[in-house]
Amino acid sequence: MAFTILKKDTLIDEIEINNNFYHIRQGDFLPRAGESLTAIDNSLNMGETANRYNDLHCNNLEVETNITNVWYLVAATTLDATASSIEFTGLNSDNDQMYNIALKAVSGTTATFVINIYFNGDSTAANYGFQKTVAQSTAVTGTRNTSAAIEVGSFLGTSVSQSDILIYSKTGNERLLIAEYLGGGSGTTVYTSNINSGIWNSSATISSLKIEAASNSFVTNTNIQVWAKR
Amino acid sequence: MAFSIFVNSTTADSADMNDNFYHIGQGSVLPRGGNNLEATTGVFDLGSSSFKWKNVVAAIVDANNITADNLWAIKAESLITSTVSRIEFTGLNGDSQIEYQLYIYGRSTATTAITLYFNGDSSTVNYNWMESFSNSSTVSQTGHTQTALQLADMGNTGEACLVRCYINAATGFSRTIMVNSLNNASGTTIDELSFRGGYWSNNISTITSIQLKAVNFGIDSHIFLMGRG
Repeated sequence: MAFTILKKDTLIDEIEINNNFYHIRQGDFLPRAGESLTAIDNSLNMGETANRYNDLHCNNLEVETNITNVWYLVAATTLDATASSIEFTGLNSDNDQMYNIALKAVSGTTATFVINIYFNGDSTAANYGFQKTVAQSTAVTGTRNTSAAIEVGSFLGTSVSQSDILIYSKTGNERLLIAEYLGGGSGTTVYTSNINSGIWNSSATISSLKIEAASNSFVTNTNIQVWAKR
Repeated sequence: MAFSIFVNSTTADSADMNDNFYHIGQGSVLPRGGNNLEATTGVFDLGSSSFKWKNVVAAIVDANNITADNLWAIKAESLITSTVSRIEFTGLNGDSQIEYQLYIYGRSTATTAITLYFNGDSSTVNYNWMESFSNSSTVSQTGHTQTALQLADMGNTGEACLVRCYINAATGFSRTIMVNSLNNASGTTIDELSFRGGYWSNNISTITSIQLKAVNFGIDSHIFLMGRG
């Protein structure tokens, strides 16, 4: 029912008073503004930083933009065409304290290549360092070096590579990264099992992350999700 | 606008009546209490366990604590602003939360290992862990039975570590933990990359607290504990 604005020296029916209360609090509880208490979208708050509700009890919580203190999906994409890289921009590590990237990459060639990650487009040689462990067949090897990016996946032939990448991203210190990845799998063969750790020698605010197929491409159905803890 | 309390036998202005409606129904909806319906914080609920809202639809949810069975949420967090040697998370219930994820970004001013123990159990040899690690081109393994689980190393001033642990916390079985850690990192050098698996042999006590210990956790060390429920 509509909201009645009361007027000075004008007789008001009790039904209109009751309807005003019902308008505000009966049924679905919507955000309202203006003299007529019209419902509006994405403008008003339920509580505020200084005046919080103690507990919220609900069956379903649908959130469009962000939830604090959980792993929250901030970006995701599935390729519908071949691409040499996937870049996520508009990030802000002043707010995003950690990222977790889930990558399922598909290769369409028989080439052997790696998947790299860059922060803020920085591809300067020796701005990154890594320590890596690789298990391939019966051999286990370790490698330490500096590089122009950090390896977070690899392919041996036409296959699928799966990576789980944790980044401590909070602005102020060097960025640390741990990546676990299956280096290409096809049929009943897993080519390598890898764990890599990386460091980006910069304390700048992270504004973008780029995942690149080095000198090659990802094909359709490559899927990547970026989760952030804010 | 202020809320007007109507008084018996006193004429009420239409503006006061309208303002009362606006006070409770217009703009941001704050929790309110008292006769004057003043804004409060941390007292009142939105819904209750017996009377839930069916759907809550929002652009942004800002909550200090989230409890949901199907969501990984922060259960405890510690950002170090002055050096400490011990961090403790209490009020846990490993049987209802079942599994934890523990993340540590550690900085130290001394050479130190980071160790973990449950429920203050650090005096008996109740922990067993096995590690494989690579340091430059050398890959090694080691195993230990100790009074705590070693998670990572911070080698020196200015060096950092990054740790991710998965802890299986429910009673009935030994509590298992899987740990990846990047150790002694600074500039563009990482000294060691480690994978550990371990367990706490106590299978009957509900986990109610987790302790982390080091010679020191320096400024900017940051620890997150996530759980379900």
